Amino acid sequence: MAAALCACSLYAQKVTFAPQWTPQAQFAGFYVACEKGFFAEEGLDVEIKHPGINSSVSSMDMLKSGSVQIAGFQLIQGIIARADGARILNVFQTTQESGLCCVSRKPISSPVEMDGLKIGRWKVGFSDFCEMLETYNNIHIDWVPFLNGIGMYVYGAVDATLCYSYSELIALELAIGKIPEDQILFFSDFGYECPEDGLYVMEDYYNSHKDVIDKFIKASKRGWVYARTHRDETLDITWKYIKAANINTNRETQRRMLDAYIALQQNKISGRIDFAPVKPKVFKSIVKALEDVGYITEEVEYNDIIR
Amino acid sequence: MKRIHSFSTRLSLGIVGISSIIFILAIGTAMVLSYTIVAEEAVKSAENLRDASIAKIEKTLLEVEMNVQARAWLVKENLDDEQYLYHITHQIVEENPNIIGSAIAFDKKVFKGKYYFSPYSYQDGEGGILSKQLGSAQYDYFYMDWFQIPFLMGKDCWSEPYFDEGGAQELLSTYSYPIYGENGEVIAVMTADISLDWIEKLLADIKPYPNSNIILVSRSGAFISNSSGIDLSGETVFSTMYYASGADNNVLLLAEALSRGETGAMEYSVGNKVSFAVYAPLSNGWKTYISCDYKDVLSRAARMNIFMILIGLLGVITMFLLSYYMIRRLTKPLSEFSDSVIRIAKGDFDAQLPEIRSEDELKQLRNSFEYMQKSLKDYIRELQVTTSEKQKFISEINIASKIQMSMLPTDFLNTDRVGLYAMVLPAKEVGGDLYDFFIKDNILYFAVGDVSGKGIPASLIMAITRASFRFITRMGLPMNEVMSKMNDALAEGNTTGLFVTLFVGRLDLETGELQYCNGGHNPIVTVTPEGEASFMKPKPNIAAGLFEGFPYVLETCTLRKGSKLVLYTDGVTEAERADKDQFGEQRLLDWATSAVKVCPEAEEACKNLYDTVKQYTDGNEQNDDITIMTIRYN
Repeated sequence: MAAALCACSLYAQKVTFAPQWTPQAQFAGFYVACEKGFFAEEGLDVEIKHPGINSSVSSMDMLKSGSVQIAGFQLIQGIIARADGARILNVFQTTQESGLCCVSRKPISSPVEMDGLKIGRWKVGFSDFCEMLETYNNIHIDWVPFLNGIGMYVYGAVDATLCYSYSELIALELAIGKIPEDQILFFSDFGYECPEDGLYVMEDYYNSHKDVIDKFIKASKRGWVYARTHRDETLDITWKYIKAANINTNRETQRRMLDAYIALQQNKISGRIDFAPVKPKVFKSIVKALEDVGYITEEVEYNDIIR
Repeated sequence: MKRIHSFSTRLSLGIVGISSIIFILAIGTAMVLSYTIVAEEAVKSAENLRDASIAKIEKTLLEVEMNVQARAWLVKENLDDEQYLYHITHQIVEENPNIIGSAIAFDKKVFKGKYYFSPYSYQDGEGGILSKQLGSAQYDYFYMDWFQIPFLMGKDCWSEPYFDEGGAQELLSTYSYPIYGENGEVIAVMTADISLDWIEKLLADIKPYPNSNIILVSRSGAFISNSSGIDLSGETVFSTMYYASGADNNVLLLAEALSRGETGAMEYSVGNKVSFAVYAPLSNGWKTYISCDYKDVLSRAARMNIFMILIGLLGVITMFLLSYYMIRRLTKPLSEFSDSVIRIAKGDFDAQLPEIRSEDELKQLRNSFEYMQKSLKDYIRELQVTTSEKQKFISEINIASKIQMSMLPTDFLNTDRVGLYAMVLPAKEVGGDLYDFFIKDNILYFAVGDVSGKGIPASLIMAITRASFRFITRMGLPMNEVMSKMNDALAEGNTTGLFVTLFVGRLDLETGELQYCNGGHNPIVTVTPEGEASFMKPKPNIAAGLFEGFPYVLETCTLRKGSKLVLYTDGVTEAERADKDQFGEQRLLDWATSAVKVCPEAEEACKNLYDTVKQYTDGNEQNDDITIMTIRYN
């Protein structure tokens, strides 16, 4: 488990934050907030604890266990966890759009064509989406959960694999070359409108440390705005975290990831980057979908989780 | 100052110029050929090296694979003996020093009550081998590539390279071999972890060129080994492309060909650096390529070519010096000839000609020069003799001329009664014209003659004529008798055919009676006291010296006081201008009419006529003796 400490003072409020994965440009805004002293300026002493690369302990597990106060994960994960009784709250929506896609070994034009295929997916956190996909399209997919990366696709162990446009897709293209566009299926093109990354806290912590959370979010926003306008410097900062955690990646991957991730922060329709909370309508449709596939039994209200 | 290049310099430069062009063409062709051959050989050599390295790597990998595969049956046979399963992994690590760890990772369904079971043995880094159970919630191997991929695919594979987290940051790869159960399902994956550091050492030793890079990449394009010395951990073949500024499209094609596991060779350039790469896959899906900078490849050929160019330059310089020396040696006699000719031209006819030992054109030239020198010498000698003789002759002629002139009286008359002036201007050194006069007993005797021909013979006749006139006239004979005697004297024994036109006269100064005889001479001009000029019409007599005994006729007339006479030879009337127009008798008559008035004295009149004639001929060469005599009678 990798951890990084921001500059702090004796009087600073200590906060521990777990991004949802190992160091990469997906979390660049938080690194920038750390390195440029935005957290410190808010009187926060932030420690960033990344989940281990070979570990099954997710950032949500870390949040639930109390080893971190703030954790990053996806909205669906948050809704399911809340439905399962975890008293977690979404306090900040990092992205506005979904970068989820399926990269196939053969041309693919719609989710229906995924029927019967052996498709890789992350072991942590995406079974919900996968079931929604199968249910809504009335198909059966032979899912192959994996912990890490693109290996199974490259070796030919799967017919297709789920990717994030800002992460695995980039890694794949830098590993085996450009993937033809007709082999990539973006789910957002088929009505899957689910914003992904957000920041979550436990309800108790929220109630007792709202000021700390607000400061954390304020500094994080600054970090992301800075990252958007200072890409090279942001990449350098991110690279420091990557090297410290000894992550096997390269700068080109991270450069592309930063660009792709920042693109997801922009609202497709409004074109704005305002880190707005997920819209109630979108939230409701996701909850309904999760109910439909039986992933949640308890209804989750927008106000229960979104702050 | 204008620089004069010698013949030898120009010829040498010409030879060197042509040789240089041939040399440049030859060197250029040789360079292109040598570069092409060297480049082709380099590609072949690199391909051989590539294949050799692949063979070496695969041999080591195969040993590892065999080590694992050979024990697969033991696993199936001993599923109930956990300790033995540990022992198997221990054996694998123990047997092959390249293997730093080995596991048998069982599927979760194999052992009831045991979700994770994976006996694992590994080198402890201090020479010992330790064992442990690998799987746990923290190390969920079921979802790791080294387990999952062979498990799903049912065939063995080598994992992507990874860093040993617990160890000394060694780059490792895991060989995974699936073990099938009774029902044909995969029940376990047997592994062997090896450090990949040896590959780097192995490849470093077989670098074909100093700047060559031998690279081994995984299926995902990750660098397992590269000999460039640059840390490429985390990079892929495709990612590094974006750091190479100025890379051409072939870099991408190369990466793609490599990614597809193709075998081949390709040329590419990054900036100004042009390289080629040979590439091929290994049987486990890894790929290797060797890149060679053409600068390195061709450096030997370039060195050879520089050496060739230097040799060539040396050759050209030597050729220039040798040809210059040889041509100079061959043409040296020419400049010596030149010196000799100048000396000859300056009059040194004994100037030494250069010695020519060769029997060639130069020898011929020397012979010609020698002949010319001898001919010139002889000619000049003859010329010297001739000139000397001519000088002597001229000198004698001059003396003769003086003698001749001294024969003619110069004590001209200028009294109240009579005035007489005469002049002879020979066309050559000595002439054939003559005049004479003298007074005896108040009688003026005078004569003007013109000997046919010119030069010495005419002058001799003239001398005889003048002497015979004086002698015969003194006898007191009538003038026709005088003429006859002179004719006889001249005609006697005259074998030369020379004759004299002669006018002889006898003027009685007292009475004005003029007795005269004209022997074939030009009619004389008389000017009356009134100034009327006219030609006398004498009786026709022939010139003296032609026929002995010819009967000359005497004529007489009386001059009135104030009359003038103008006697002359045909040199006056036949004096020519350049356009061959002669002075003529009419001009003479015109002159006499006008000039006698302005020139009352004989001398004035005589000189005035001469000037008039000279003026008329306008510098044209005089081709006949001119004699003028003017007489005034009062």
